[in-house]
Amino acid sequence: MYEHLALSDSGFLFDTRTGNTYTLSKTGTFLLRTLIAGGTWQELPTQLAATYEVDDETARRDVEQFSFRLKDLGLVAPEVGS
Amino acid sequence: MKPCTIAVTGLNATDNPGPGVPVIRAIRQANPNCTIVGLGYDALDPGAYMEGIADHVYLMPFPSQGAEVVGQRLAAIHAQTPIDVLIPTLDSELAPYIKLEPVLRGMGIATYLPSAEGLQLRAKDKLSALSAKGVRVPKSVTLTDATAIAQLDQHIEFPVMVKGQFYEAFIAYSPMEVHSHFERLRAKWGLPVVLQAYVPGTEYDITAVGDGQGGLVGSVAMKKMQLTDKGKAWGGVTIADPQLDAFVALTMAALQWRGPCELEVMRAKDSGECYLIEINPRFPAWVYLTVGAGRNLPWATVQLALGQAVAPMPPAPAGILFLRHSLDQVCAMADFQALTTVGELHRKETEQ
Repeated sequence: MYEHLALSDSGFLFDTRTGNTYTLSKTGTFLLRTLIAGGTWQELPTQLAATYEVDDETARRDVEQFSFRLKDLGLVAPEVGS
Repeated sequence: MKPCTIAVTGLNATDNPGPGVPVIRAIRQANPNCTIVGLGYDALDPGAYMEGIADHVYLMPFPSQGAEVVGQRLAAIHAQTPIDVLIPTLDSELAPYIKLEPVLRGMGIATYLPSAEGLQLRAKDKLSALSAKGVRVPKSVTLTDATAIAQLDQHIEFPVMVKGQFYEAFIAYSPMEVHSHFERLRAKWGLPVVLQAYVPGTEYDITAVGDGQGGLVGSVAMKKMQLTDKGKAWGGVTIADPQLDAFVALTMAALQWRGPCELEVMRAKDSGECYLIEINPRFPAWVYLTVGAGRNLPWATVQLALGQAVAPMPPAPAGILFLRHSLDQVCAMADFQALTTVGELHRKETEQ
């Protein structure tokens, strides 16, 4: 699902299928790194809240927005994380 | 491998460099001890003067003068500097060199070129025939006469790409724009001029070598990252896309292509499907990227021309960048004099 995404520790993302590159924020890097490592979309808000000291609702909204952005950019399939 | 002499054309380099110098660089990377004969058309071709590129340079007659004239010149060059392999790198050279292949073989000069039928099948005005073989291509109309332009909208939707026989393409949104581009392209490259439906999406370029039996020896796919004002790649990155790889393999199988080529593929924005836009019957100027990707296609071509077996290469890795640079080289007037007056420049001893 994410094999085509090469993500560096600094947040530089390279889509090996399209050649497009992106720069992610620290939290974006954290979220995508978690997914690439095998984490699920369902557990992301909890992990985000625990790591970045935000409340659960903010974390849930941020993950949702992140999901929309990845799909909008064609980095993940539309059904992922639904 | 025993030392060999490889002739390469395409030493030109204006804002749109020829593939000759990068092909030579790739060959030298694999075999530093080979002798390179550069075949140019102009005494001011920068590749003729570059350090470490050509050991001998000869000026050639233009391909438009015909295969016989080209063959005579090659025979004279070969008598002075025996050539083992010849790699043409410019579109207009392919037809005469394919015609000359038996003659060159008789002289001991090996090539690895497509068949005349293969060259015709990939021509811009014949590309639509590939759709019958399962290769998706945009709709196209061939123009040999400006009077057909007025009724174009009955045959094809605008916008369209207006393409010259060998080079150049312009987008046109109306018959009037088509007319303007048609006249310019006809004057520069001759007929036909081909109109191709515009496919909105992302372009990917692939350089490949086919084995002549429908198989793929190797390929490297690239996405342009930097463009010149003519839309040529001035920077790019390799990509790895199984869907694109499958499309390339399908295309090469349909063409039964032998030798180097460049495929221009558009991935449609709406459907994500691949469309074959164009096939150039030679290496592109960005071919040195194949060395960076660990898939030295020019060297593989030399080996295949010499009858050596080359195992099919695995898919190239993604993430290898190239960025082109233009640099000024200081040249000796004596070198320019040699090319201008005698049409030859030698950095090594010749046979004669």
